[in-house]
Amino acid sequence: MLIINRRIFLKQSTRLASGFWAMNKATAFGPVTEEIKLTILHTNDVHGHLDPFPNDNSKMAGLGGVAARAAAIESIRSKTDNVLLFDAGDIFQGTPYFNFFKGEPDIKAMNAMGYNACTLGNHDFDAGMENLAFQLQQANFPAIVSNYDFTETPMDGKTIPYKIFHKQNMKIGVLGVGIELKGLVPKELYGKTKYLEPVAQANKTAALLKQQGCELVICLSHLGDWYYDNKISDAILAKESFGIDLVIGGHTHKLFEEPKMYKNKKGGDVIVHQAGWGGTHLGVLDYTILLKNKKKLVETHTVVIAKKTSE
Amino acid sequence: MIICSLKKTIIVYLLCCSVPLIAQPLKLVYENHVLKTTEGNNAAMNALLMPYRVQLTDSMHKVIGFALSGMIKKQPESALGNLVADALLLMSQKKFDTPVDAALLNYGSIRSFLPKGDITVERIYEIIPFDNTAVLLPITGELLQQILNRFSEKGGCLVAGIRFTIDAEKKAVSIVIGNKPLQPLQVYTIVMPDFLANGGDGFIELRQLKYDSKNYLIRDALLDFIKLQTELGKPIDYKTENRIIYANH
Ligand SMILES: [Zn+2]
Repeated sequence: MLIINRRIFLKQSTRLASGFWAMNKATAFGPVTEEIKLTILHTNDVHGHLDPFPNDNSKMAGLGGVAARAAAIESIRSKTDNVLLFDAGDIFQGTPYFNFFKGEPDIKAMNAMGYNACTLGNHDFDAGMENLAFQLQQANFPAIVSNYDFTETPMDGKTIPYKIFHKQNMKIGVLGVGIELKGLVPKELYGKTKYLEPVAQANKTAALLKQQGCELVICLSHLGDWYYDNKISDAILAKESFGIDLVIGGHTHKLFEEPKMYKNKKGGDVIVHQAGWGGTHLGVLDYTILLKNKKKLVETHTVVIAKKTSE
Repeated sequence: MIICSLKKTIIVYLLCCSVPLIAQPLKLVYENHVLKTTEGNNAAMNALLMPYRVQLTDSMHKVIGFALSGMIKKQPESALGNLVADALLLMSQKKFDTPVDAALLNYGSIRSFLPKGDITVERIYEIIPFDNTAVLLPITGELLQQILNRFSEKGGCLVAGIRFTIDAEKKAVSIVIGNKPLQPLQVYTIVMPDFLANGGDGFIELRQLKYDSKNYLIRDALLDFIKLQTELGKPIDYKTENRIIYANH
């Protein structure tokens, strides 16, 4: 224990010293402030809606479809450099496409749209773990889950616990948390999958990502945004977290009018957002990040939120 | 004045330098981008989807059977409801390889009608659009009575293997299961949609019970049942037969 503590102390003091040096240099040669723009695009609970919703006078009539989504993504990418595209799970199940093709066209479409990562939703298990493993093998992007242990299942080695993305001079760490499958997914569909407590896993993974120098840490979550009881949710995760800046949520099929903001354990701001379901909307989060001093590890952020007004 | 405030700024700045910076400000501008094909329709994506669309359309238009008469959904009982419940009872017995006493489905399980003539896969998808699976539950006669009472309050349900009367108080009476009056202490094996077994439609008491699942869709049970009848050379011929009746009618 003592040794570990001392190690942490040493690390912190070196960090402090190098930071001090950098700042001294900054005052001597002008500020090293760097402004980075990063656009996070996200979907959740698309549920096999590859085609737009039928024109049946419902609220979702005519909305969605991968052709419209791909066009929107393409247009955003043409205007800005640093774009990351994520999905928060439940890609599968909900239209005859899934009954007939078991997720194949969904993954192909996501490959073509250039998704950077997804996490797993409970419905992604609906055609079994062999199928999920097979479909993910065709994906050009990783499935990130930090709290499922797939040892001794067909999904073993088919997911990763986190990934670091490099954009401009910035590292963005991404982790993922899945919902408890017991009681939600038939036992034979998840088999020996072990569900690990998401808060502890998320905090552990976020700490690791911070340690590796990530300025921004994103958690893809299929926990659901909020529940009446104390069931673990994005709201609870955000408040119990240490190093997560953004939670991209799913499962509860909510279209947040605006992102929600919570204070984490260190008093920093954590953003939670969710983009409805069925692929009718694309969540667009335009971040402006001031890297005042890259040598220093940023533990938390304060966030100022505004709604996009016009193009 | 200016010098004074400048001094202050410098002091604050220096203070900032000597302590590690913990919180850094971020600016976040958000938008929920509405996706409409009228505002952007990616040609490559449509090309990617095309073979799947074609194959899906072909599969959906496939004829799997023949209906001798048109069937609608109705309460307390309907020909279409009887067909679906019978399909679930018979096919789940085969799938689970075990005797099942009765099938129970909520009225909302079916959403459309079956017209007279050729039966297409698409039609079955319209009748059962939800991907609910068949689950087996051991249920005591006592609990079954409560469940049927609840269904009676709602005006009826879909049943196979059970007959009952909905009385003036909207309670289930004269319940017959397996051609015998319902025994409160006997445990029956019932097949139902996982939706109900998970406490849907207000059946909270079912949530406590452990069920058996083979991830077999109710829709697939109906498709398989119709295909089986066609293989046997039988058209689909269903009528109401007083499985559920209202008293004083
Ligand atoms: Zn979902």
